[in-house]
Amino acid sequence: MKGAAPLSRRVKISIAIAVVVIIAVAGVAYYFITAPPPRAPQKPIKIGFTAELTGGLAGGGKAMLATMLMWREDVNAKGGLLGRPVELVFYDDHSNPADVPSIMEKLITVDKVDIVMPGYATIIDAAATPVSMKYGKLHVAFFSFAVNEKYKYDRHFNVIPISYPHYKSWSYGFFEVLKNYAQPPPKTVAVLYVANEYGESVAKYVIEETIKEFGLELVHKAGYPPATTDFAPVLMPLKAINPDIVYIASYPPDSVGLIKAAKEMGLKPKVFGGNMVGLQYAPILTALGKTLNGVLTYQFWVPATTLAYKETMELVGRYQKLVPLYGTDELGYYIPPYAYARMQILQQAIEATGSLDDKVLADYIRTHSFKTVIGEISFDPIYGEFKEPRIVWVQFQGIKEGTLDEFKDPKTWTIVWPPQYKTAELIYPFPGWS
Amino acid sequence: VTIGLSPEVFLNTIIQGILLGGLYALISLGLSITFGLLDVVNFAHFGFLVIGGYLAYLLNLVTGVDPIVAGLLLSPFFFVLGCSLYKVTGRALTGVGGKTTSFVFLFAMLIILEMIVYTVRGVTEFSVYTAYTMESLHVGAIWIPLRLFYPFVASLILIASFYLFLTKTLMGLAMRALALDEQTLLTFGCNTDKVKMILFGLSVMVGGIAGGLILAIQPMNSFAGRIFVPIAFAIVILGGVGNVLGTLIGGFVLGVSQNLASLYFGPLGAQAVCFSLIIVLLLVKPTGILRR
Repeated sequence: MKGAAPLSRRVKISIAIAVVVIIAVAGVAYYFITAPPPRAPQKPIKIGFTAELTGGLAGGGKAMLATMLMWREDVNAKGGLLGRPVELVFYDDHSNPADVPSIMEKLITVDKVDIVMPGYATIIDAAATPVSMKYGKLHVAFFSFAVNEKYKYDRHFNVIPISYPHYKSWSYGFFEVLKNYAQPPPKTVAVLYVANEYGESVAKYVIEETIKEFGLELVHKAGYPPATTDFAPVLMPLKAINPDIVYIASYPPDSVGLIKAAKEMGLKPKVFGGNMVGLQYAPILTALGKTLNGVLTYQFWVPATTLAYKETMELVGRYQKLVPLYGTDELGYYIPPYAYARMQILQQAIEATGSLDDKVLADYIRTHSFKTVIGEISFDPIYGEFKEPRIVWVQFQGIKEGTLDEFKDPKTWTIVWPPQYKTAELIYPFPGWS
Repeated sequence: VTIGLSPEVFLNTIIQGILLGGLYALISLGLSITFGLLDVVNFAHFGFLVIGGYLAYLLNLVTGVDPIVAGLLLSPFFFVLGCSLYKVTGRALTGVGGKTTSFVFLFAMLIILEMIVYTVRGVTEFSVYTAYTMESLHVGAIWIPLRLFYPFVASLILIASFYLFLTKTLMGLAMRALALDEQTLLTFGCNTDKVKMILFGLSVMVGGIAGGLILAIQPMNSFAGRIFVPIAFAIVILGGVGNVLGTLIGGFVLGVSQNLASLYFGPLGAQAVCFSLIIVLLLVKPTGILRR
């Protein structure tokens, strides 16, 4: 049998080349089929908001911004949200509500941000909410007060440690402390308030609801003009009336003025304090120092032993390093923990739903709870406020020099209410000014 | 709720009214002399209060010096500042082009002075706490807050010095003559422009010192001067325009009546009650308590 003719050398070489080419082509094809496509730069997720960088709210607005920038850094360091980097888009609203709607419109229609937010405080949120409603946007407000009571917008949420009804959770704790720990119980109360929207509405609720509920007798009430030079005349009638309780709803300058005048005249009721705004900020705390001893007032977060979560302490520590850069409050107990928590809520909703759709996110936030730097948070479904209030009542005790370091020390913060955060017993009656 | 007329409360209300009135008088002094002797409505005065307060704050921050002393230490600077401003802007300031020009010019100056502090400081308040800030002198049932007492004493000394300056010195005489008849003063060979310059310099100086005194009492911000606009104008009119002693009496009247009104009608109604009294007083005595 005649064997097959041997292949010529030329044919052998051709086959070898063909095999190499086929393998190479297959290899390259395999690479392109299986390897991920080359990464085109990812479009960032844009979060837009108004910021109070100048004007009356700048102290809080700048602290909020500093915290939000920290959050952006943290998120992007971990690869962003939904695999996309996060970009913050913000404009200064000069603390002026009139500037807010146009900024919100611009963020939504020109910058086309994915998420839009109002800046800090009630007046800003009140101006921003109608714009979000117009475009059906998710709206997570910050330190706003009772704005959604009016709108009842189902995509409106508010990060502030109070719940509905607002005025109740705002001032109720002050009287609860007394009911539970003041013996013999105080009977008479004088209510002083700054004559602006804040003071009048807080005092109205206290007078018409709270003190009646607690069976206290109102013996004096007085509003005073926001620009008062000397507070002695405001307190003077109390010298004659001698009420057991002096409850005050004040703003920062008057909180200081009232405490000064009360000490000077040696006013000595059994309880002195209230919803005094300003006693949360470093400059006022350090200026008043040991004079604060005995004053009972609200705080949102303080590094007391019962609230000093590791995450919160770390966050506040990082913030304090940024203070020289932003010129904001040196302690940062009031704004940063909650400003960071707001972004964590948004972050967790986006990650869990894998969506940037406003309705999907709002539905998720309404129905889930969130683990944040200040603990677990969930919202009530109607007003979008915290389900549980988280205000703590501090009675300053044993402050020696009133230095910044002293206020950084957890031992300085003596919480007397609510019981789950309590670190000290109420000193009653008020021992007098030191 | 009635307060009842506790003698202790009544007495202390009056005393604190007098203390506050002394400061009010000093604040009004600069306004009164420019109004009465230079014949301009000096709105910028309220801006110099703020500048004075802020510089006293800075001086306190750096050196720890008391804000009242700081105001006094800064007084030469304020005097020179006032004179220089007059030198540069005197024609507009005194209203060569008409009284409205002067009014608008000085109002614009107020806004600029406030904006300077606002730009440097922002909205944040500035305050000074001294060793005596929350201390009081207790004499029986009376208490005198030192924070009000020291500025009161400083005000009295300054007002008295100013009174002596105007009545006992040749320059003071020239200033009073200026208000009466500038033409005659010119015929005596007096450089009236220089007199006006010194007068404006002194008014700015008094404003600057008053700023330091306010700072000793309460925190300030860039717009803190505005609180005193109605008070100071009321005192100037009440005491007789350009009348130094009248300013002092006007200050006491306003301070005491404001405090009493606050006690019996509440702090919110105090200003309204107080200014109603002023209207009645001016209807009865249109020249004010003392004459010009």
